[in-house]
Amino acid sequence: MSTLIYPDNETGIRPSFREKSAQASLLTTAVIYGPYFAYVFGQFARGTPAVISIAGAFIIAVALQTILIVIAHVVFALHGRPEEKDERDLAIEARSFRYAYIAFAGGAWTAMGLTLAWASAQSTQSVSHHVPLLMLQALLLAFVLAETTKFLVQVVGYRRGH
Amino acid sequence: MTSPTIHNHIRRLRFECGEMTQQGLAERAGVTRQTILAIESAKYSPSLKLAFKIAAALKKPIEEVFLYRDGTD
Repeated sequence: MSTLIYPDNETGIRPSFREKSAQASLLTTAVIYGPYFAYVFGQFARGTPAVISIAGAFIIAVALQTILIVIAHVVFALHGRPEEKDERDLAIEARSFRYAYIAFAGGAWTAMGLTLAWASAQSTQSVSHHVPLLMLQALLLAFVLAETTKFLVQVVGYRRGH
Repeated sequence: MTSPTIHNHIRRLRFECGEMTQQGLAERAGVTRQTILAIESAKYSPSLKLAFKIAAALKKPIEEVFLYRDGTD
């Protein structure tokens, strides 16, 4: 039967709109939030976190990712219309959310533990007002790790077929 | 003994069904072409509902399209 000529030669998996969307989201999240957290936790490591600069960096990161994601989706839409979600899309999405939940739960507990450890390691009382900021950033890191996990599981799922 | 798998004859049946393309079958079954490709290559097992839709699109009973192998044979 191997000599049969089948109706088409569609043996390769060309990525769907949703797969390309997951790839773009994974890439932009990693590229933008990697340096962001390096900058933020670098400030805490030096013991001189500045709320204004961290807030500014956060706004830039969110704005940059929004712009890049919008541009990417416009380009993807020009090369092929977005399809309706089918049952495989939903199955891949459901699995990605399961893994993302595990990542977020683990990250949130780690964030609380690390915040307590950092606060107790500081020698002065003046650092106490930095604790909520550190907790906020640690929880944001947990959320970003969960998002990264979600997009990674989606990318792998689409590449593997499911 | 290997793990159970669901095999199918979609590719051959598409050929026998007026040289239907993956895209054509996908549109008839209401899924994306990538999903048909994943099913065809046995990477994704469809729901019972989708399996019936695919069989109907190929004008065959479901047991002629899909077959279950439990790994003992």
